[in-house]
Amino acid sequence: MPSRSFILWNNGRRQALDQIAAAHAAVGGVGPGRRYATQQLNQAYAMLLSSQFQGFCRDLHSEAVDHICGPVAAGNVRMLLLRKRFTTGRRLDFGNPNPGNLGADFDFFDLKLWTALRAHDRANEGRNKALETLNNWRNAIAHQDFDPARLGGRITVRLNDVRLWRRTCEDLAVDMDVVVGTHVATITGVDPW
Amino acid sequence: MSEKNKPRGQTASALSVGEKVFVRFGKKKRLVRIIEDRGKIGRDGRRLLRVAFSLPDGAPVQMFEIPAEDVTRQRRNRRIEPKLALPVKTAGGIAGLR
Repeated sequence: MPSRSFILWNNGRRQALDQIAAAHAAVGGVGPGRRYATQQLNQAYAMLLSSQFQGFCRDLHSEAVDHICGPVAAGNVRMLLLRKRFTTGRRLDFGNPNPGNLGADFDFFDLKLWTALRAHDRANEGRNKALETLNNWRNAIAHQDFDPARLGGRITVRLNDVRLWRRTCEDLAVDMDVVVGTHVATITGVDPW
Repeated sequence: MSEKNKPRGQTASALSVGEKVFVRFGKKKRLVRIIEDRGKIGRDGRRLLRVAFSLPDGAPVQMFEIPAEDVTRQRRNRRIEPKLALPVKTAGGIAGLR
C-alpha cells in the first residue's frame, strides 16, 4: 500500500496538473504550429508542477516523521523534541524541491535519499538532473530572470520539456514512496505504509 | 456535547488556522498558534498541524508539526450574565436599568 502522501499526489495533485494540461490543449490545440499564449501556459505548467511536487515531498516527510515519532501519549517531551527537530528549519517549507533540498531534509532522519534512490533504480541519476533543470526554470519564471547560460541556452520553455519533467516527478514520487517507507521501517521495525 | 467529552479526533477537526492552542510539554503547557493545517497525512490518517511559538526571551519564532489530537483548545472566558437588573450610572445620574 502506498503512503497517504502518494495517494494525495496521485489524486488531487495530478488532477491539478491534468487541468492545466487540458487548458494548454484548449488554447494551443494538439497539432504543430505557432501559438502565442502557450509560452505563458508552459511557464505556469512548469511552476505548478514544481510546487505540486514540493507539496508531495513535504507531505511524505511529515508522514515519515509522524511514523518515526510513533504512538506516544500527548506531552511526551522526548518525542516532542524529536518531532521539533525533524520539522523545524525544513528546507522544503520555504525552498524549491531541488535535489539538494530534498537530500538535506530527508537526511534529518539519516536517510541518504539520492543514494537510496540510485540504488533502487539507476534511472534516478538522470531524474536528479532533470529535477535540477525543472527547478532552474522555476526560479527563472518566478523571478522573470531568464539566463540562457543556466537554462540550456534557451529562454523559452517548451511543452515537451514540461512533459518530461512531469514524467520525472511521477517516477520519482513512486520511488521516493518506496525508499522512504523502507527507511522508516528500518527505524521503527514496522512497515509504515 | 461538551468540548471535554468530545472524542479527541472530533475536537481536533474543528481547529482552525490562526487559532491559539496549548501543547503539553511534559507537565507544562505551551501556547502556540496554528499556522497550517497539513491535512490527514499522519499515521492512521490523523491530522497534522504546523504550529509556531515564540519564547519570552525574544528568540526567533519556532515552527514545527504535531498531531492535531495532541493540542488542546484555549478556554474562552465565559460571559457571566447578570442575574439582577442593575442600575447604570451615567454622568447625569442613574440612566436606567439594564
